[in-house]
Amino acid sequence: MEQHQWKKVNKIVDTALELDEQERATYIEESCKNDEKLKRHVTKLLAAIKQSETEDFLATPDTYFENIAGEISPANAPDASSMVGQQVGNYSLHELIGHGGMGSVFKGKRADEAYEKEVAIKILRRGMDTPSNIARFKRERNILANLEHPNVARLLDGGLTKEGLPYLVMEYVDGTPLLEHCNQNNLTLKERLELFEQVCFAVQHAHKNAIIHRDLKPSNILVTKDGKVKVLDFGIAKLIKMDGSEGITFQTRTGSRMLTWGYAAPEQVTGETVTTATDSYVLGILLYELLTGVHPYKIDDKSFIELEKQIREQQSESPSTQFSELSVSKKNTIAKERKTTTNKLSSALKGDLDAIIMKALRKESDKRYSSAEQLLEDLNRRKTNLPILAREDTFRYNASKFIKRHRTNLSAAAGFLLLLIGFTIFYTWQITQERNRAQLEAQKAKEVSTFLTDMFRASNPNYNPQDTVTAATFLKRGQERIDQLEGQPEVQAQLLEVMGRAYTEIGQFDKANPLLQKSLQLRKTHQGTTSIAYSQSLDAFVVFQRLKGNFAEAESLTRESISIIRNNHPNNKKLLSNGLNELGLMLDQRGKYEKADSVYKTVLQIQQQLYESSHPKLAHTLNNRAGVLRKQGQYEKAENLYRRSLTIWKEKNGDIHPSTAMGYHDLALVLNQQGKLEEADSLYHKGLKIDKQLYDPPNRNIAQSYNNIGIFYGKQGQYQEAKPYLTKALAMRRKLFTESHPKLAEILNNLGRLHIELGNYGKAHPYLQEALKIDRKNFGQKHPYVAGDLANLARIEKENGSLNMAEKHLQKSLSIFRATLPSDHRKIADILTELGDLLVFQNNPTEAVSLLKEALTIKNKSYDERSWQIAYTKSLLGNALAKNMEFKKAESYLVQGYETLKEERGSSDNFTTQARNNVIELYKNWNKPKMIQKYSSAK
Amino acid sequence: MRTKSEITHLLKEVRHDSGQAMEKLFPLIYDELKKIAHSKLQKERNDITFTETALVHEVYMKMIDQTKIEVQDKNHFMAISARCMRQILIDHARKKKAEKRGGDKKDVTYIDKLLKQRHKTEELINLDNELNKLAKLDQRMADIVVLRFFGQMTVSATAKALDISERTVKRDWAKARGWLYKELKG
Repeated sequence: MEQHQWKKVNKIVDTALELDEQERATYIEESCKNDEKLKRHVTKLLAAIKQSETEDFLATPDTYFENIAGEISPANAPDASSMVGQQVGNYSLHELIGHGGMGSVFKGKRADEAYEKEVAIKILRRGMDTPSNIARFKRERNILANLEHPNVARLLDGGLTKEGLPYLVMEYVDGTPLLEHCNQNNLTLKERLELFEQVCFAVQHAHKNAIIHRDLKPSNILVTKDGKVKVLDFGIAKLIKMDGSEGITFQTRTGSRMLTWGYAAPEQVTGETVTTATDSYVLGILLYELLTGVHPYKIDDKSFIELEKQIREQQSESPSTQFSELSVSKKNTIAKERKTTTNKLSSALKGDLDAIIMKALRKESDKRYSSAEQLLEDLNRRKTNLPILAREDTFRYNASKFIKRHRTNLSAAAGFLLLLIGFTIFYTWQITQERNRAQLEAQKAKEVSTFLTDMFRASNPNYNPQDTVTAATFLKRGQERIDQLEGQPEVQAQLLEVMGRAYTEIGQFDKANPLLQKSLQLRKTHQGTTSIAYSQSLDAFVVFQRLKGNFAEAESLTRESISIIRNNHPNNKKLLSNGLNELGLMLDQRGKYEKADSVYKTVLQIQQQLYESSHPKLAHTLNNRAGVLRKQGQYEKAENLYRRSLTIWKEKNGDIHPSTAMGYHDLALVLNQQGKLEEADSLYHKGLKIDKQLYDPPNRNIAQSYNNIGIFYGKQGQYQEAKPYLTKALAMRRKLFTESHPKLAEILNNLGRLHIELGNYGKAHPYLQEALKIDRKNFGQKHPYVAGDLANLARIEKENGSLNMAEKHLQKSLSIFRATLPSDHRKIADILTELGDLLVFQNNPTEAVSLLKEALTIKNKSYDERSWQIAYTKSLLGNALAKNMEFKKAESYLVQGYETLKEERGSSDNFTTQARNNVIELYKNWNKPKMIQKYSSAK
Repeated sequence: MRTKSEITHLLKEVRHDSGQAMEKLFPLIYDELKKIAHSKLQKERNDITFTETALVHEVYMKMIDQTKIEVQDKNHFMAISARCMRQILIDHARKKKAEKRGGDKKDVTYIDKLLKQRHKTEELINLDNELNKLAKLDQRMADIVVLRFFGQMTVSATAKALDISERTVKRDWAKARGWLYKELKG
């Protein structure tokens, strides 16, 4: 082609691309006139443009890699079935159950049988092109893996195959697509609505977690044999879409995409932002089909351009209208499938159902139900004959609702007519109140969900890399929003609570406190101290105080919240059991294990009535109770309960789940204490492995795992093994938390103690100093944590020879423990023992004897008589008595102590050696050379 | 080798005089890209497939002082890299083709790996030829293909690097793609 010819072609093509197909043909005719050659160039190029787009020739990065992945992917090869029998990640593929544009779906199982149920494994055709996309895939996968709801098919796992193709492992659902199920079983309108509600529950749950489905369609909604709805592929659309699509001239898509166009919202067609209202739209279409048997748009005979236009611009007819326009025979079939007559179906659709569906199908997303929750609420209001949001606020409508609702009271028509005028004023007012109520709830939900969605996006740097906003910035913006809500106290209080909780979570207690205070105050004033809202503000405070470590305060707040529920909302058993569970945690933290145990027992009784016996909620309570039993030394019982809850979690959530990981850790803890070290070791690492699969470092759960494993090795004296874990935990927590976060203090403390054990006192000192500073800032001067820090520092001072300093620390520590713990707590015995030992050094054996005796009394009560702990204190007490010249008494303690230590810790252990030296020292002073001989050779 | 700040300075120049600074930058980026592509082979990890985008990014991080640079400059860098990448891949493809005839089998290189993913050798060379023809008809359209295809640049980055509107990029990209499709596959 020559340059001048190209210029002509180019110009015509440019204009043609702007036109729709019909206009285009006319335009080409006109502009090419009789120049056949020019016309051929133009039409050829236009056809090639269209074809190149359809095939995604030289596509934009993301779609291009789809093709590449397709080329190398066995999933795209004609025989995807050849993959059957192979293994992907930890899963073996048993059967090919689906094959489509996105990839192939297999039925399979975990190869190592760690999870017994069948799973569906989806292998995607599209490759991951960059490390950042892979990271994003993992992050999204982790978010989705946390989506847990009976109506949601769980995402269990996911990763990349050896070939670099992403795969997803999902709960395998054996069911029939929703529409088919309804028609096959001739379900009535009421039954259909009930199933639809289950769909909404699933979507609502996801929306509350800031997850949008994006690709709801009939084939994604299955009904199992026992009539339970399961929604598949939540958020998968986003997960596999690597970049914002850059919609070009033709909106044509490949086959798989075409089918779902019947379930695409206007904003999806135009490429605008997808929100929770997008899902509401598709729910509207589904409900439409479910009830009327026809799709709201006539999609069969349309080209894409027409279809797109229709989706964007053309309002569909209402369900009842469209139904009435069908042929008589079709109407009859549809009515029959619903076990009703044409007329009855038609009148059932008219009114509320029409209105609800049409509101869901609004083109403007802000005019629709903003989330599944609102849609569900309107459906509920319809059921109970309350005015629905979707209906116009007409007198006739309100009055007809009023009559339906009060039908029994107003059976006498005459009476009604007489009273009507008088009542109208009152009931109009009442109805307005109800509407306001609904609107208020809606607004609350919207404010909070907007805020959460923003937060969610803010924590995802890929969302808007040019303008990365941190979670903290968003919280700041949230605060500005709160100020704008002045005059709407209920909405304000709700947002304040959510934000307070968010600040609490990220450890910014200073910021959380005023927000929670204000939320509490607003609710007290506007909703009263008996309201559920008020109790929820209290609950938020409970978490705040618990995370800050103020357990006494938290306990009393929990009790207040529980009594509000008990006295004013006695039927709300769920809230009650949640509150009691929190109380149990608090009692546990405060060392009141027996009380905590009995609280958990009550919770279990309530929950057994509320949930099936293998419900994850029960598992949580069992796990909590196990913790209390463990701390009381009832290891076998605890192990039992831990195993039970772990089994439930594995069963319900699969292996790759935060709860399952927690289950492994907790079980490891109790096995550790029972001395079943090998199994404990393996479980700790199993838990850590899951954490690493679930989260990208730095992450708080991974840090916690590192911490626990470090302590595990430390307790076994494997200090060198412990060191890397604790060091990594510290590095991670420094990245994760603010500089004064309690978790930072915890790990500093552990590392400090490790270095003490390693004899690196110089290294230990700054760690422990920092821990003390943080704990003092968070908990004040008189908190058990502060006492613990002081005790550790005392050990360093003692080793460094600053005995007075050491004593000062220990005295302070002791007085704090005495004030905050039960008088026979082990911690008190520990400090008494250390202080006694120190006083002997300082030549104050009389004082030492009295402290060590008290320590021994406590230890005798709380440890097994063979415990080295008792022996250690006995040896020290003997030593103090010896220094006090009470040789006879001293002898019995020293010898008993030494013998037990030798047996329990071995003869070359530091404690044992020290105890033996003390014995020898005694006989030297007592002048018994034979005995000196005996123990000197007792190595 | 020039220093990081010299290279950064050169890149900033591109905005004002596209010709000279670009001339100087091209061989520098070309060498660096090639070097990194080869070194990748030594310590390649199995679980991540490196792509041109990743390579370019790495070179960018290595050569340019991030603190002294604006978004616009980065787009220019990406654009030059896209051209370099085209050169590297085509050079390699031609060499491969020659080797095939000669029958002398060499070690697998990282560029081989990129090529395998990217396109079959032959197709790539054909594309390059057609792209040269397209450039004669419409230079801007050819530029857009280089940036979008070889540089994997987004519409928005391409628009900024070439200082044209996104709309133009989309339209020209569609046309160029159609034109190439017609020539290569039609």
